[in-house]
Amino acid sequence: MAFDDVKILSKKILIGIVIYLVPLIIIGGGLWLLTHLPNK
Amino acid sequence: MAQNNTLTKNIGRDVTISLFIYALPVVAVYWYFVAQGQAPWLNNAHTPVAFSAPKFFNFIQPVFKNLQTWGFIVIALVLGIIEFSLGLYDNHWTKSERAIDIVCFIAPKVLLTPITAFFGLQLLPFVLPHFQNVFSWVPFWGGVFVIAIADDLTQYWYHRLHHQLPLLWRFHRTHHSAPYMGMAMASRQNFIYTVFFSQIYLTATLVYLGLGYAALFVTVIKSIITLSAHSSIAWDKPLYKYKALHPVAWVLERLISTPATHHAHHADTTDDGVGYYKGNFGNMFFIWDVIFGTGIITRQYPMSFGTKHYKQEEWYAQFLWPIFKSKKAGSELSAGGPQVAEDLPAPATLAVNQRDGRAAAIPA
Repeated sequence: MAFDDVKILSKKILIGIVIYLVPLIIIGGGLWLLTHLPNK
Repeated sequence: MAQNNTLTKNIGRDVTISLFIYALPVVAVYWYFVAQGQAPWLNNAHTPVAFSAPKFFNFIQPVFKNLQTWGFIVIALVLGIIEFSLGLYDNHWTKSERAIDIVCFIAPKVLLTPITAFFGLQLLPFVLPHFQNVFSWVPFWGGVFVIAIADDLTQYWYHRLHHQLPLLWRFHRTHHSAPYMGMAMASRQNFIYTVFFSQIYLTATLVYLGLGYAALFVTVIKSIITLSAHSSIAWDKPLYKYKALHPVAWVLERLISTPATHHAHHADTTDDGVGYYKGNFGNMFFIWDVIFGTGIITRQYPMSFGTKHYKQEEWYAQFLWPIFKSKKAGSELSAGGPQVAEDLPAPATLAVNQRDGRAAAIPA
C-alpha cells in the first residue's frame, strides 16, 4: 500500500465517522434532551 | 468545474434537509407522548415491548431472530437456489465471478462479526458507560421509526457519496462490477466498504441505548426489501402488468427499492433510458431518492448490468483494494489506475438480446 492509498483510506474513514456521528448526535441528542426537559 | 459546483451545492442542500429528517422521529415520539399527557422519559418509565409475529410465521421466526448470524445466509441461499433453478444467471456466473461472490459472501460473516461485537460489547460500554438502555422508554413503533430513518438514510448517504465522490468510488466498484443481478452478487462488496458501513455502527449504538427490539424488526424488513431488490426474481412485474395494481405500484416504487429501480442502478449504461447508475441510491427506502431528486422511477429492466470498464479484475483486488492491487493494465484497481474510468473513452460493447428482455454485455 502506497502513501496515497493510506491518504485515501484515511479520508474514507473520516467521511464514514462523520456520516455516523451526525445522525447519532441529532437522534441521540434529541432523545437525551427530552429526558432532561424541565419537570412541568 | 461547473458540474462539481452543482454537485457540492446539491450535497450541501440535501445534507441540510437530512438533518431535519433525522430529527423527525424524535419530534414525533415527543408529540405522541405530549398528546397523551405522558412523559415517560422523566423516569425511563416505558416498558419495552417485544414484537411478536403472527403464529403462522412461527416456523420462520428463528431465521429472522438470527438474521445477524446464520439467518441472512439461509434467506440468501434459498433465494439463490430459486434463481438458479429458474436459470436466471444464464452463463454470466463464470469461475472468476464465482470466486469474488463467494469470498464476499463468506468473509464478512467471519471477519465483521468480531468487529461489530467488539464495538457493541466493549467499545460502547467504555465510551458511554452510563448510557446503556437509557432510551428504553421509547415505544416499539417509535423505535422502529427512529431506526428505520437513522439506518437507511445513513446508508443512503454512505452509498451516494461512494458514487458521487471520485475518491470513494473504487471502494464500492466491486458491487457494480457484477455483470448480472441476483443473490450471488447481493453481498459482493469490497471488504473495506463493508467494514466501515456507518449505519451498522449507528444502529449498534442505538441498540446499546435501548432500541434493540425495534432494530431487530427493522433489520428483518430491510433485509427482505434489499435482498429482493437485488434478486433476479422480478416480484414487482405483476404490479406493472395489471392495471388494478397500478396504484399499489405507484406507492411502492416511490417508497421502497423495487427490483426495477434497483436493477436500473446496476445497469452499465444510461443510454437506453432505463439504466440509471448515477442515481437510485436508496437501499430499503427509495423515498430518499424522491426527496433529493437522485432517482429515476422505471418499470422496465436494463438490458445489461455491471460497468463498461470492468476488466475481470482478480478477486483479491476486488475484495481488498487498495491493500491488494489488480495486475490488469488500465484497471481502476491497478497501481496508478484512474480513480474513475468513466472519465476515459469507453470500450465498445455488444448487447445480445436474451429472453425476458435482458441482455449480456460482451467486451469487444
